[in-house]
Amino acid sequence: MKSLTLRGLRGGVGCTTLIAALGYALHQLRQRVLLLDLCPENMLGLHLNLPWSAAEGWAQADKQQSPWQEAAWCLSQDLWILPYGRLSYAEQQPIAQSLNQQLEHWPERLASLSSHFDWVLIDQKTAEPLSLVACDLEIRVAHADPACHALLQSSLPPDMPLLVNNFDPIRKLQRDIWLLWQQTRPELVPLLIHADEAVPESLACKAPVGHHAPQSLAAKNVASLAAWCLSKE
Amino acid sequence: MASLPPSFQVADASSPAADDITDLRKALQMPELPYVDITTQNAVRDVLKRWPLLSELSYFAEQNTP
Repeated sequence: MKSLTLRGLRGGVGCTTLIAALGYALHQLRQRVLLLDLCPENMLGLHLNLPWSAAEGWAQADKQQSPWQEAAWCLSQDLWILPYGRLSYAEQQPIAQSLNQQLEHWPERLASLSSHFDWVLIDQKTAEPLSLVACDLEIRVAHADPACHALLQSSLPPDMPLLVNNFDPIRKLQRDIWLLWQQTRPELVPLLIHADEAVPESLACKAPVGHHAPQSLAAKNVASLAAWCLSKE
Repeated sequence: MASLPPSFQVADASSPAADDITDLRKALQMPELPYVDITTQNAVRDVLKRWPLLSELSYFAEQNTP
């Protein structure tokens, strides 16, 4: 089983949406996929038709000391999601503290699932400097904008692949930054996820973009990304 | 089917007789000629001229490259 996470260079670059889309695309390529939401915002499930009001999740299970596995939802054969669940702000603090203190917690849990899945895709908070759960494949996600360009100058792990999301080829500045990164950033993933209205529309319909708009450019880009992930051994 | 008369046929580029560039390099004792993508180099230079932030960060990156 391979673990994968998307680390936003800053907030709002679209990691949660991409994780949902990528999970769906990998499943379309006949992979067994588990989507794991480690974020208290609990947004991942919204992309996969989970009810907003559903409080169940692994964090709720931990609080009630019930089996965390039973909080998972089966979306389709071999496509599962384990949401964080809905906790109040006060309830979230003990969970956040234990996550940071017991970093071995989640790798152990995932190891117990390794025979059931080919991929676990983990949605983690961007603000954390290190991944809470270290993954086999960690992809940094950015927009081709000046803020991300400046942030890339800080010392970051150099080997992390860099993926551009929400790319609009009509905008000159984005085209310029993409060109510059192609020449200066060997870690750049050689494909783009284009800005596409199908992406927010898919969330508005509570579906991953590959399901809601399979012919859209963004869906095709994500399918390419899934193939690229499969090629990384 | 039309075909070129023998006097017009171009020699196979991989045959030794046709490799003028290698012969010239050897005669002038020149090193290997790496491919230079001038179009892209010019495009990158224009990008850095166009946007001061990108230019400054590029300078910073160059100064800090070991």
